[in-house]
Amino acid sequence: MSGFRLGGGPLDGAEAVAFRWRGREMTGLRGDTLASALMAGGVRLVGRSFKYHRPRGIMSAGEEEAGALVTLGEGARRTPNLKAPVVELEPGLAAAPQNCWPSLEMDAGAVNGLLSPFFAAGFYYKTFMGPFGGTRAWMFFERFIRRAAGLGAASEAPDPDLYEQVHGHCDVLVAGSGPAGIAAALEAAEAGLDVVLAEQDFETGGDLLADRDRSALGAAREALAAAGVRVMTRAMVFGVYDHGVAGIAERLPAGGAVRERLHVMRCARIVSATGAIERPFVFGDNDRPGVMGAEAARVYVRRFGVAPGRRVAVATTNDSGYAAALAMAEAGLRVTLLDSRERAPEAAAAAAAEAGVEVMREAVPVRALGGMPGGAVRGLVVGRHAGGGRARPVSRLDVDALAVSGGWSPTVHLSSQARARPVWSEDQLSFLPAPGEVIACGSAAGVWTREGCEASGRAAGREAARGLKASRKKALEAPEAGGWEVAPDAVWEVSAKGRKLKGFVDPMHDVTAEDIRLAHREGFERPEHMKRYTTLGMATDQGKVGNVVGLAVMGAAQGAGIEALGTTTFRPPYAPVSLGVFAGEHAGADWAPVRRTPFHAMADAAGAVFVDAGRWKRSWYLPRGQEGLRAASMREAAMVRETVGVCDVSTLGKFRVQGPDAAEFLDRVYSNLMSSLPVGKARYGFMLREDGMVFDDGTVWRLGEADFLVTATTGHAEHVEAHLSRWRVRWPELKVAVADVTEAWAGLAVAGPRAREALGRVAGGDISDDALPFLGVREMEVAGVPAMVARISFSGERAFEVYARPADAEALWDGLVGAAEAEGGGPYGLEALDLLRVEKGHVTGREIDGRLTLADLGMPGMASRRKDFIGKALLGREGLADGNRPRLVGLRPAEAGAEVQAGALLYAPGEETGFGLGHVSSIADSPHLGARIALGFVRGGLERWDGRMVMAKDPTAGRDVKMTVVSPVFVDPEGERLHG
Amino acid sequence: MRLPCPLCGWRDEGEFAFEGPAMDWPSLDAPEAEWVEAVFLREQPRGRTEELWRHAPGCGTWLVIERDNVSHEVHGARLARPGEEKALLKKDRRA
Amino acid sequence: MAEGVSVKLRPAGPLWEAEFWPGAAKAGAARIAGALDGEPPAPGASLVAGGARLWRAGPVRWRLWGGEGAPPEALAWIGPEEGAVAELGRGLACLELRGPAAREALARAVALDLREAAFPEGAVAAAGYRGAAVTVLRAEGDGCDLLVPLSYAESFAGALERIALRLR
Repeated sequence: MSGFRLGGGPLDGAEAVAFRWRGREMTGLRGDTLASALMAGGVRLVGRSFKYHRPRGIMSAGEEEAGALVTLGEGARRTPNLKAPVVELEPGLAAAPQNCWPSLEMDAGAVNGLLSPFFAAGFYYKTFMGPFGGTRAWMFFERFIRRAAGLGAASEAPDPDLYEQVHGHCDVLVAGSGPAGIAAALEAAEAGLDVVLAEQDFETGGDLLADRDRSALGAAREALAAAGVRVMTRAMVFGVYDHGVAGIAERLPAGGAVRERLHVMRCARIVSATGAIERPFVFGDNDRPGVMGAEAARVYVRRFGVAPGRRVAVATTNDSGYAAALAMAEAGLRVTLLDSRERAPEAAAAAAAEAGVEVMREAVPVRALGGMPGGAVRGLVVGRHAGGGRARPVSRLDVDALAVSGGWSPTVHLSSQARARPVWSEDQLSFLPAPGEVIACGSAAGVWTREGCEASGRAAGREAARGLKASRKKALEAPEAGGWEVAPDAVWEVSAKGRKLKGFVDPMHDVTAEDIRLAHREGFERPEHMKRYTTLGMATDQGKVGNVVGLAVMGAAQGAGIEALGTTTFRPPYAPVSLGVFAGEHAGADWAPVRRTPFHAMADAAGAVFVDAGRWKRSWYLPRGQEGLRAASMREAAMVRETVGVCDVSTLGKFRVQGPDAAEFLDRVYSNLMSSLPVGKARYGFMLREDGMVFDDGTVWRLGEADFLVTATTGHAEHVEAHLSRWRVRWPELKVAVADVTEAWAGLAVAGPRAREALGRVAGGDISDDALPFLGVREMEVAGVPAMVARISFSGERAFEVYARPADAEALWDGLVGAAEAEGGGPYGLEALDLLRVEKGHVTGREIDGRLTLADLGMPGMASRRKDFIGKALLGREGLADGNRPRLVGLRPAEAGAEVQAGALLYAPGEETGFGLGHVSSIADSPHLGARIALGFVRGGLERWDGRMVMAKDPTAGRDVKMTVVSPVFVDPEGERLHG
Repeated sequence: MRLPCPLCGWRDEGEFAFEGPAMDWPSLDAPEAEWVEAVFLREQPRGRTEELWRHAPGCGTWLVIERDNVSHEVHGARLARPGEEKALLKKDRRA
Repeated sequence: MAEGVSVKLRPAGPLWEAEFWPGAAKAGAARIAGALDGEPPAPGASLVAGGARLWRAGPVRWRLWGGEGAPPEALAWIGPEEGAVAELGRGLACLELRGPAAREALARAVALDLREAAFPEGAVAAAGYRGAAVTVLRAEGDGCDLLVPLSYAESFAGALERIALRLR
């Protein structure tokens, strides 16, 4: 079938656009949507429904589409569940139907329709989660059910396209570019405001696009340009958030660098001119292909020059059906109009009749008849309407399309998202937006005439300008909701005595009116309960067409009105938005920013393998030849114990604490005394949290009387900065400043028995024990650059930390690594550093997990008794003094080489239940001892367990390993290497 | 959500760190009971409330923001360090 | 690339931060600005003098970017009774964005109002860029400078270069 394109339409003469539907070559016109092009090509059956696999065609001309869901693109670019009426036809577009197997016409799943009595709302829950089958039966059947029901399938390949996010600001955002939106934008722009007009369609104009005479549209576009309005097309305002933040998803034309763009727009005012959505009403088989919205039929004829059929019936409950009938009759189609009401709008009825429309009053469709290929409509049973949807079948009408208008729902989504709960109007039979942060106008505020919409838009624009003090003109009176000549008829569902009709409320989720009554019978009466029980409104259209009808059917079952039920809450997004839009550029190389130390390039050149530590790339190990992590790190650790190693420690947090009260400040934030520290010396220290738990450990260097440098662990650097800053605010009496200088110092640790010799090769100052004793700090030149040298050790070896300007990193690296190599050593990485510290029993973030006190770590002496400090007050809590708390211990597997992981739980032998004694926190293969060692925590600590056996259980790995509890200091417990 | 920084103006929530209620902390030598109260026994006010925020990552300033935690309406902001609040003149305020 | 934007990464050079004890803040600001023959700039604005740029980084904090001396003369008088001075520039990098689309590129990185009225010549703003604290300064013409922590510099430069490619 072909030839549905009408002559003389607005797309006449437009460029032909080739596309593929189900692999078949088709041609549309530039300016078409996929839906209009399919319709022009005579395609009626477009997909199969969600649950019953019923044939579905194009039902609308907008985001509310519930029938024509298609999958677009192929391979990695396959996108499911797109609505054909809002897919812009672009050359090369490839689209396919979904949820049909083996083919669209011969669908095996359609048998579900025959079994529909069993598939009513709640069927799955009752059958598979009830007492008989139980969840095991559900688990078994689920995969079959999931395969049979559903929508399209997304691609599993990585998305090859680029998405981006842009931050925007404007004075006034107007959502929707119909007559109301244009008027609002112009009014605000004329007041001198910066206005953004966002239109989800690829063309501006809204309802103006369906005008026969396009001169108003042209004039409006010129006026917008002249007024400096920033017009965005293909840009949907999908969400309104607190304080005037709006999310706008912009689709970009195919072929560009970016596929979709998220605009996070901060708006001083937001105007919603989003129009209204026509809703259907329920009658028998109202979901057949060829049954569509009356307004949609008008749009297809007027905007795209496409006929929905040749012989069309319009069924309406309100005045708007006449415009659709008129448009189709003027286009040369045979049209019969069924008005459910007794009274018709006179002028509209006369104009329709003059154009050749046959008008039937008090007439409703009782049932759509099928029979055409693919179940498309071929006629209908006409009923005489006795009010309230009750009808008596009287005749048959042969038609190939049925255009239905059951009334209008203003698109209140944006207002509702801004927490203005929509209010039911019995006059308009619509939920109207409540006044609030978002200014609604036009049909979005229930104004139904062109003039009314323009006036409403002007008033909204003026209100925005006045609110922003950009206009001193007086407020314009906005027209009230309304504008119909004859009141709309409250017809929600057609019933005929003695006839069992299957009518759909939510065609996208196959929810029937009967399902809603079932929900009522079973007690799911509130809108939120009904929604979840029937899944009404939970499909990708989020109830745009079905919700109001569903509420009305529920209301009727309860004998209550819609206003008594209320509605569900609208939340962003207004319509589905690609996940890529929210991911934006934060994928691939830009997934997260990477932090590199000043020595990165040098370590890289030395062959380092890097590991992610938070955002840092840290030098992990520097393999030689074919060495892996284990071999390289063990060699590096052994090198440090035997000669000397150089390690990048730039990632440590560093803070300059200055001021006359700096020492007092540090006394308050550290558990041990810092004010007694002499200038030129460093001290190891602990910070506790307010609750007394250990927060971080680091060193404090006194550079001057009122000048300190504080270091923090890499992982806690930002938290420590916030902690220092927070408490500084709480002690306004202290004259102290804290500057984050983490990035200002590039640091290398030089450690090992030959460390002094190595450093001595390049140091410009005296580093003898006298000049630079343990924990001494001195400024001097190192490798020809100014540096600060401190004798601090993490590895337990004689060691120095050397800090210089990042700009001097290369000189420092070359000098120190070269010197270490000359002493038989070289660079080492994070893994070796970890081995060395486990050997020494030094704790890191693995141990300091926020649940431990100083006593638990075996360092109760670090809590000063001579002063007050953060955490002291709660350190004395009874539970923390319990000698049976888990305490730091060393562990060794009883059998050499037994596999055990950090995180394994520790139990007393024979009592291997419950939480046990503690856990393993760190594991290392000690090159020095030639054995596997571990740190961990055991209730009662060494005092109770020294030398005894515990069981390390690792249920995830299925391993039980016997371990002996030992001292956590495996190497040099006397500290001879450190000082020697 | 947007929040006002008196120095930088209104900025996105993502530029701020929430730091809990704006409350008085016990002195370091206060008895354990007071600290238990401050650390563990917090009020959970509904509606208009004073909160401590920090404009970080941003200018790093600590703020007391008076805010309704139901409607999210912001009623005002001041600098949390009293001396700084005093040092900020009226003409310096951008929000 | 006349239509687009170019991105150049360079060391920030010396940038000094002075923090005053609150009581000394007002006089201190006046003295720093006076040394540069100007008035203390309002928050969000800057004072450019003698090859240096001064702006307010906090209620009682000032930043001086550029200038000679360690610390520069304008800050050299500050002692422990007035406040504290620290050099931060060595830990910062400067990303120079030049060209008519510089602000368009920046709008893909920071959530600042970069419209001409809100971000005119001389404007300075502290902002977050993917969790890092950065400073955005309006440079000559349509250009902008972005001061970022050194460790992030390469990563941010890469991201901005990819953005710049799209805006050509």
